[in-house]
Amino acid sequence: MKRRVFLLATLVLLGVKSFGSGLPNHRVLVATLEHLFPTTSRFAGAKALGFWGYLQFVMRHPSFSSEDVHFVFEGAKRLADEYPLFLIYAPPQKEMVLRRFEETLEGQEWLSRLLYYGLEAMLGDPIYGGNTKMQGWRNFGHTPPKPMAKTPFGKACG
Amino acid sequence: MVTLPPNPWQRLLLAKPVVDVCIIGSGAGGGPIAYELSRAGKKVVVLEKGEYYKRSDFSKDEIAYTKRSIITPSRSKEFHTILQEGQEYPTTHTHWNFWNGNIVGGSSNFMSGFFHRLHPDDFRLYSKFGAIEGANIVDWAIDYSDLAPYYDTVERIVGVSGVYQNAPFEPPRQHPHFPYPPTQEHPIAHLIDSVAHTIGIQTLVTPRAILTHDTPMRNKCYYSNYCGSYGCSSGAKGSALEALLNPALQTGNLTIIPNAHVLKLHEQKGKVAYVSYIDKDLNLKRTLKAKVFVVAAQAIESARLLLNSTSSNFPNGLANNSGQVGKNLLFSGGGTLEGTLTQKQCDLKQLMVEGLFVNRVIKDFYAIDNQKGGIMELHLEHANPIRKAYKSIWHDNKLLWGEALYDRLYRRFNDEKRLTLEIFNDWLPHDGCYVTLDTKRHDCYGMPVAKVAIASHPHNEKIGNRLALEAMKFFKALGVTQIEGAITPNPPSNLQAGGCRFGNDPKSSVLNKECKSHEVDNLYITDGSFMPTGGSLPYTFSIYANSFRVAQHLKAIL
Repeated sequence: MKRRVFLLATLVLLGVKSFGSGLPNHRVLVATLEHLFPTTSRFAGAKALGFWGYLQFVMRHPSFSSEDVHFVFEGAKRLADEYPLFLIYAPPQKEMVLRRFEETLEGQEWLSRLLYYGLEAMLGDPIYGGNTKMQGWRNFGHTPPKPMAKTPFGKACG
Repeated sequence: MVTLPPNPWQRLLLAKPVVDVCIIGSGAGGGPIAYELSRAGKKVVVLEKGEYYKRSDFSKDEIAYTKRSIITPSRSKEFHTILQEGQEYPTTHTHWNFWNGNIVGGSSNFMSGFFHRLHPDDFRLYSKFGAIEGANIVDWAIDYSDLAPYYDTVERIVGVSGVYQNAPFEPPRQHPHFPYPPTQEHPIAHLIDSVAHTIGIQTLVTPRAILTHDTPMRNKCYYSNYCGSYGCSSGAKGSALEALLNPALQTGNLTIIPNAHVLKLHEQKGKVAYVSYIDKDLNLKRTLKAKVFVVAAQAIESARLLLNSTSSNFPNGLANNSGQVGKNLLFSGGGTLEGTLTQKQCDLKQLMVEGLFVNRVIKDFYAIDNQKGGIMELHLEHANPIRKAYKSIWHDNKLLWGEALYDRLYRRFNDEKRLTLEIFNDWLPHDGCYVTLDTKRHDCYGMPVAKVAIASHPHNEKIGNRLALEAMKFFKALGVTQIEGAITPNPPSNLQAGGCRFGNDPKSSVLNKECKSHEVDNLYITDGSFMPTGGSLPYTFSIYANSFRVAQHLKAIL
């Protein structure tokens, strides 16, 4: 319960009304994920694999660090502040901006964290909302595990 | 018919004023006591702080079991304070996590099950290799011949698969054959054997606590490719839950109370009179009386429980008038080296075979340069796609993403595998590694948390690095590339022992050779706490064997 309160406080601090698509900078976050994990002719990416749905789901769980929630949105805010036109940039411009962002310690840490959560969304059990139709596993010829999860987060919190 | 643990409301109806044995902790230290005593007709209650997971509750969910702390307490509620180089670090705000598998069956649910016997010299480290400055090395209160019959018992009851090979540092066996044949081997094992042979190293088949044929209550291994860190979905892994507690429940003499967080042991007239605990399901504080109390909560938490259990007779903690409780905590020395195998080293199709085990160990350096050395365990990475992928996101200190990342991951998943060589050497007992109470910090139940001093004796790293030199020769001969890893002074939090060492002198040990407290007549400790030195092996097999040994003693006196 305490964590929920903290989470809400964090989001209020960020100036949001609810934890969903109404978040400020959530579009920056989504756009960044879609750039890091594009859908190509060979590979399903962030959009096709439901990364944003995944993040929304796992971030609500008590096992997700509240510091990470803050860090992820704070990074998106900083990117938006530094590059207000990021959302309308074409992919080559976005690439240039993100590579520049990577040159700072904080920017690199934020991007590596997004890559990590993107890989969780792509390669984790589909029960969490990502890895839609196991396409993430299929991207790389990974054999689905047996047994797969019947409830998210094990028995205890399922 | 299996008697399942009672539900919370049934627990209220349990009217057993005094049970024969109360066991605190349900892992490798508690399981054998529960198994043997309940089968001997004694009434046994196990208090376990975590949940009861049925076999069907387990899955190969990488996020749940390896990326989130779902089977350990929330560190915002229950934590440890780490003392390192004079600074205190509460684990609420660090990467340290000294909880391991807090569910029924304990961390044995999540082990890899490398089941090596201690060598006879491990019982006489002081006599064999002598003193080392700054280390509190002593011989054990028992020798190999005292424990060997119980290694046999574990191999039979818990189930150990393997094959005996004559080698200089293989301990003697009464029965040459293992009760279960070895697990199926990955094709790479033959390459490892032949390369090792060319440089004069002998590889041995690793005994595993994994069934290779069905038994009435458990199924053989199905080679899921997700083993260590995961609960077993066939029952093949020799966890305390599968091998001991489930059969013990069939006797009708065992009651397991999950979600029971023990607060304190209450002493009266030199004996533990009762235990108090929080029933987390009911949010009630409850007590339980028993003739004998067996503590098996893993080394750090066992010491903490005793230290928190003060009374007028034991103002410094239960069984601690000697001041020895929490001293000489042990972890494991060594570290890990990893390298990449590709089609340059072997046929790609064979390399990419999934699920089968390498199961090879090198024991040639168990003693080295007239000093105690250690072992090198070889294994291929498990499937774990998230871990595999995340370790691939860097290239020349820049992040990979987009098509470049996809191409890298495709190669990583289809063209290469990482071989791990894990070095285990002794973690010497010394005055800088111990458990005490952090009286300034309390858990969510209001009890002081354990303060854990984690300093490593310099000799641990010295031997680890010596072994790493041999390991590198082997890796180079094998032709592996992209070698990473290190020998580290940091303790592996999943390999805990010591803290309540056994011995014949009550002034310098907590337990006698039967693992009974010198100072408290009905108190036993049967997790790894009893070990005065740990050997250079994973501890679980020896904890199981010793617990079976203590169970024989308890059967005789109860």
